[in-house]
Amino acid sequence: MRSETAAFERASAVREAAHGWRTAGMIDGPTEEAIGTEYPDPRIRPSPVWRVLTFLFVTVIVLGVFIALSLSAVHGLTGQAFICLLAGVALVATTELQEQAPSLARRGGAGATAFWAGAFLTAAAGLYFGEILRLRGETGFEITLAVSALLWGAASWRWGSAIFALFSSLSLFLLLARQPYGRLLWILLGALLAVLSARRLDERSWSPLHRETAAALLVVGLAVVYAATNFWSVETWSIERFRVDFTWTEPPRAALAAAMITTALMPVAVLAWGIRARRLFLADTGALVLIFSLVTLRHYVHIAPLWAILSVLGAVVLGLAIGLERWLSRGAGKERGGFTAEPLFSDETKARLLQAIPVAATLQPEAPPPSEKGFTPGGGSFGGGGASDRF
Amino acid sequence: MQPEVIQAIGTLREKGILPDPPASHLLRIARGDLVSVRLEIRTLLYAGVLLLTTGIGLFVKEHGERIGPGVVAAALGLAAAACFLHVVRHAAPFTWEKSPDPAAAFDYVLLLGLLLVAADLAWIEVRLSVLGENWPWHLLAVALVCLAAAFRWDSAVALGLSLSTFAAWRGVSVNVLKGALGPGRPEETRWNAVVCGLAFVALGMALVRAGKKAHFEEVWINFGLLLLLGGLLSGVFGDRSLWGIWLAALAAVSAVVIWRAYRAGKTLYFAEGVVAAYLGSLRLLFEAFRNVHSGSAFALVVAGSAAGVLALIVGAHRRMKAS
Repeated sequence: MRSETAAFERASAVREAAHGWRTAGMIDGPTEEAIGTEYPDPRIRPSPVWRVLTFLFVTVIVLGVFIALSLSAVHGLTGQAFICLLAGVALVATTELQEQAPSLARRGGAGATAFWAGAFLTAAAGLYFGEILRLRGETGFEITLAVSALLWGAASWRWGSAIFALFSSLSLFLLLARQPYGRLLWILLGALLAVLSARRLDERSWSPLHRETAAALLVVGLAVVYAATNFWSVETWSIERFRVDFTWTEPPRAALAAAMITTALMPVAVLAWGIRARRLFLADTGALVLIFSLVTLRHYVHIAPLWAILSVLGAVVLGLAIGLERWLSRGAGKERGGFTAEPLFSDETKARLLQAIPVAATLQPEAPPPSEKGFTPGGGSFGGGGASDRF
Repeated sequence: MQPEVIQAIGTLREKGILPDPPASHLLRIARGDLVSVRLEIRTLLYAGVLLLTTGIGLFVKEHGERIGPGVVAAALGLAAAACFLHVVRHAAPFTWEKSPDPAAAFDYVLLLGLLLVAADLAWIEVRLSVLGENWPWHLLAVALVCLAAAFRWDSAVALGLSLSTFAAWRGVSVNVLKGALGPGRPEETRWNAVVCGLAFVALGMALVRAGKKAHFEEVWINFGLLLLLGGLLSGVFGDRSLWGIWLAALAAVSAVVIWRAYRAGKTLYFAEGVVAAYLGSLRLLFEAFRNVHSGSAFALVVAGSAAGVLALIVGAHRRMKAS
């Protein structure tokens, strides 16, 4: 990352914090302005809506020009690979130019061109190694995965994107899954990635974007270790199946026993780590992994019918949430152990309005079919809004 | 932990820009010594409601007949009443303004109560066939109950459920991920979407003008625009004979939306108008290139038009920021 960009990112972190303080009413407008003057960031940073809009239309432009070039000036796979390479390099240059211009760096366009640069360069590598050189077996695909891991990794480092780091790690672990002892490599490298990333979470010399990337990689490392040690994954050889020469054998009993223990313990350990370190992204990861472990348990042990499990789990989760909120609110200063249920710096009015979106999207009753004469209700689905004609 | 912010708080305090308090409190938060789990609690509440209603739904479906329709209806009613009792006990007094923010659980207990009422009504309708052929009218009843709850208890969640249920009554689905407006006849659904959308937008604007629950504006207008623009787009791409008229209507409506959003500085409405107008204009391009067998020319025109829209977006953002 350019040193100038890193400096702007640091200033931006302070300005964003100050904006949060202002939203929460802890400081007034003039104080926020004074902080802004003290920590200048000349880059124009529109709201997320503008950035998404810009991302979408830059994407349409990039793809439109690419398709036009591909259809008119290119014949055969070599030509396609060349066009992909050309487009990728041009987009890298475009991203760099935007990154240097304060009025363009954070508009959403640089993100779009950076993303498509990575995609086109990866595609160029895939076409070259897989289709043009026609490397034996799956070698071409594996080289492409390696190139993809390197490209997205470099893009992440250069432009400070956690999403690109996810693409990079995804390519890397897919590549490892295709190697002998893939599962062992997943466990070892996943753990290594988690340890190395955890050390950098508060690294002062890194820019805020790079620290975000470290957090994302920590989650990836933990997810990979869990995926490799989950009981269902071990029993079904889910990682080994990525290999072309995979043949099914009975999984070793010791491995299954170890997987049973890790499936049970790892979610609790990650959750406890997150709570102890007061890092919510870790606690959230632990909670998510716990859900996977419960699903795994349900897959093997049918302790009760589905409706009973869902109802009990729903009631427990609701009770837990209500209880947690009350417990925290009744603590001294409405906090306990460094946790609070108060919103701190978020805009509570906006948060309450935003709740309407997932509710309407998932719990809306089904629209009835056109008027059916002589309709007799019965059969079908029930749930969500519940206001359906069918049960 | 935010190293930059920790350092900045120290510097700002030394320079007298940031007084203490709140500097020491802010420092605690920047160090990660105090964190808010409000989002996590909200997520748990939402997941809990989703799991519980699905579980209850499955139970009623599998065992409702055996247990007896009356018992099921009574049990659902009792559970809903328990939720409303909680809501009534913890609710702030009614006001046309924004109520003080309640505990995070409040909205979700209310939501659970409303969903149970909806399920109860649906169950009664299915078993007793009170409305007969007019059974979809029970959706209107649910929508009105949710609307009343939204106003009384100042809940955007209840309002969202009310509007989506009202749209469902008219055969329209607000879930854009489904890719279709609804399961009914396209022409009828299209008109229903347009009328619902217009009604929602008009009601939202009227309430804002009257100063009654004005903070619900975004829910009304966004749902309304989604249906209105979605209905018009459906006409542009789905009506083979009258697509031109639909396109003209879409262009006019989008222009009004973009202009008013621009004047009011409402970025989300502006974005919705721009995307709808652009998607509609693609139909015009498809028609123009119907007999021109040049994919590359078509792609270039699409890219060129997107570049034009992008210039409009950047220009509009600059002006909105300046004003």
